[in-house]
Amino acid sequence: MAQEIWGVAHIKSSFNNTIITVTDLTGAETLAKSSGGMVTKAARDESSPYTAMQMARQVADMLKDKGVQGVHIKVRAPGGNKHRSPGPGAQAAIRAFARAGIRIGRIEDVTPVPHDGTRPEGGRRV
Amino acid sequence: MLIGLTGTPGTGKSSLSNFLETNLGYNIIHLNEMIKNENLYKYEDEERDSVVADMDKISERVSEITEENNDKSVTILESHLSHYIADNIIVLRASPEELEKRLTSRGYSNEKIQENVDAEELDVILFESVEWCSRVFEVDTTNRPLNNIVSNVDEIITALLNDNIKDIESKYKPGSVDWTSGWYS
Ligand SMILES: Nc1ncnc2c1ncn2[C@@H]1O[C@H](COP(=O)(O)OP(=O)(O)O)[C@@H](O)[C@H]1O
Ligand SMILES: [Mg+2]
Repeated sequence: MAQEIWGVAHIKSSFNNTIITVTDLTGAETLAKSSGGMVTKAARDESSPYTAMQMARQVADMLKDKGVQGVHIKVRAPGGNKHRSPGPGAQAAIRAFARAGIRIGRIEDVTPVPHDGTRPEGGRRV
Repeated sequence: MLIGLTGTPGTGKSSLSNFLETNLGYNIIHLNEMIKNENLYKYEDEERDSVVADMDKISERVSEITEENNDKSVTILESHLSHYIADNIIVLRASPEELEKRLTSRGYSNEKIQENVDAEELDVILFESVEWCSRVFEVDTTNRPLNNIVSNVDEIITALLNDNIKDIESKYKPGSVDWTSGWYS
């Protein structure tokens, strides 16, 4: 059997938008990409979990076309301390990948922490 | 009344609050300075070249000061941590490009600049403010002179003091600022 092909799915979300970019393991080549604006017309929906789910399905199809079986996940998505977890769309996207038959590897939270000379304890609170 | 002035480092909190203090006589707590002067931190994080704030001690000191200032007058808590403490919050914003310029001129390391610019792009502080605080107002500072920003902030403070924020809510609605237009390309 041929060797499995794996990629890295970078899920990035802001208050207004979400973008998913899948690269090869080195990060050099982009294998698939989708942003909120590509699956919804309403600006207010571009960061919703449902949009992220649709994006992940779209990306999963592109990955299958390229023979990619699994992805490691890097999430840069703030929020998730009260109602959304982690980030508005990240979890929905990960679940949608899994349901579309994409294997999920390591999940890493790389959400940036704003800091000058002081930072809160715990840094990011995911 | 305690009002938090927050925003990613470089969005102009200190410049703005210095102006409010000197020219308009507002009570300001410059939290970063207070944390260092009064040792309100737990330990030093060398990797991030930062001290780790002791939020319990800080909350206690902020309450003491607002009480001294009398609850009826406004005390502005200036810090990118103010939304951890205050319930009424003004979030300053600056476009990632503009922020990068401002932080570069400050002499931050490239890593520190990048992490803050990324945090601004992803609305990290706005998210936290909206999740934790009751009233949140967003003010863009990109390409805007200080006096414009001052009049925005003055308008917000007046509305909060009069307990009448209906008329200004949509003008400063969280999420009005969006740095993601480049994500489509
Ligand atoms: N409205 C503005 N327009 C352009 N530059 C600004 C503005 N406000 C602040 N700056 C500049 O940006 C840098 C950071 O400002 P500062 O007030 O120290 O930010 P903060 O306290 O939020 O970290 C300083 O060099 C300052 O002169
Ligand atoms: Mg400052």
